[in-house]
This record gives sequence, structure tokens and C-alpha cells, in this order.
Amino acid sequence: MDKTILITRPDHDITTRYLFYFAKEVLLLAERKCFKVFDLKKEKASRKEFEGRMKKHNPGLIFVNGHGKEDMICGYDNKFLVKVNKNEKVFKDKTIYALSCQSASKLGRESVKKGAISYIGYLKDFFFCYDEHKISRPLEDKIAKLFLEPSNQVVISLIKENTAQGSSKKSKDFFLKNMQKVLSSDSSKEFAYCAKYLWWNMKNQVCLEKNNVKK
Amino acid sequence: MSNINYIENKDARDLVKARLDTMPRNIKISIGSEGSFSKEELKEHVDKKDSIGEKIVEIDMEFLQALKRGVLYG
Repeated sequence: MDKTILITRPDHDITTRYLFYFAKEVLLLAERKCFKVFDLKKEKASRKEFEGRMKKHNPGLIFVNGHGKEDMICGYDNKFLVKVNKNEKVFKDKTIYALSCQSASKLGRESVKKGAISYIGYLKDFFFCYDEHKISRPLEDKIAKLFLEPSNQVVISLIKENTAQGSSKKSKDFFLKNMQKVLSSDSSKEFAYCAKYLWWNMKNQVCLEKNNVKK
Repeated sequence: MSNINYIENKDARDLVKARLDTMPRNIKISIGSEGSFSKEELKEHVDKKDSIGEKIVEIDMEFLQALKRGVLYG
């Protein structure tokens, strides 16, 4: 894979704030692994900047953090970055990981039909739990970490040159491990309620490629 | 969405609300662009039987089914 990664990290509400901080860890890893990194953070996570960087630098790997719907992924202020029947062709020949709700169900499929190599994302809403006393320091939030470490495992594995299918599997294994951890007798009971949402994310993460998306 | 309409089942709603009570007060749940919710807010959505309540009940009931099928063993 081409060693260029484009990351979008809006930060305009609590959800995107958490994704923003956890994605920074991925960004640092990519730099350590000698990737050329383009970081569209905060207001820069806009369609104009996104399309401009895609055209100019042609990154092979795209990591999108933000809200989404079935037919779109969004950037700053929930304005769309990529939308079905607007600009999904921008993903041609790319590997995409969309940490956002629902976008695998339509945008992912359409992107693969139009030439994306792999689209990893979620068919339904992505859930995570967090401690409201930690919102100013998301990386210290042990509860959010139970969710955002396994989800970011997808792109960490891609950076480490695993295949898209293999990267999704590693992420799902991580979700399962955390689920077993919170339900084990050694775990504090206050984490047990997280298990169903970890399971939900694991179940709804998909890796779409030419061989599993019908034309 | 599952074909089973759990939200219309009062026993299912009561079970889900009782399970939400195990959540500590300082914890909130982020549901994408829908926003973040405390357990009290989620219980209100379950009572209202709106789309957020429906999601919460669906996940809980399907998870219980999945546990029965042995999901924890991979």
C-alpha cells in the first residue's frame, strides 16, 4: 500500500472530541511507521479541503472520524465530506476506514462499486460509553478506551500492513476481548453494561470489497 | 433493524430499563449524531418508544439472545 494517509478529525461536539483525541494516537503511529500524514483537523475537516488533499496527494489510506448516515460521512459541523451520488468516486483505488455511524450500508457499498479497494465501516450506529468527568481529558477515560481502542485497531493494523479483512478481524477480536473482560468476574461491575454496545459495534463492523459487494 | 418489534413489548421495555439502572450516574452513551444520553434520558426515550428508545431496546434484547447463542466464545 502507498504510505500516505489522510485523517479527518473534526472536534465540534463530545463525540467528535473523543474521536479527535484517540485518532491522534493513530496519527503518531503512522508518523513512526514513516507514513506521510495529512491531518484535516477541526474546521479543516471540510469537503473542500478533503477533495483538495485527495486530488493533490492521492493518499492510499483514508481514516475518517466523524458523524455519518447511510449515504454520507461528515466532517466539521456535520457537513458532508463524501456523499452517494455526489463525490464517492473520490474513493477510487483507496482503502477507507470510516469511524462513523451507518455509512457502510450505502456509501461503503457504492464506493466499492465505483472502485474503492476496501471500505471498512459500520452498518448501523456506532456506540460508545464515556465518563462525563473525563470529557476534558478523553485519553484518561478508561470506559471510552474500551470502545475506541478496538475501533482504531482497524487503522493501526492497516498501517502495519495487514490486509483490510485481516485488520477488521483484529478489531473485532479486540472488541470481543474487551467484552469478555467487562463480563468477567475480575472486572468491576460498573463496566458490565458496556458489553452490549461493544458487541453491537463488533457485529456491525464490515469490510466491503469487490468480492463481497454485488454490482 | 430486527424484524421483532421489541419496543412494543412492555416486559422488554421494563427489562431494558432495569438493566439501564446498573449504569453508574457519571456514564453517558454516545449514539452517533443523535447525541449523548444519561441513563435517565435513555429510560425516557424507552418510555416514549421513539427511535432512540427503539435502538436501545433492540440492542439489549438482541444481545441477550446473542449471549444465549454463545457470542462470548467468539
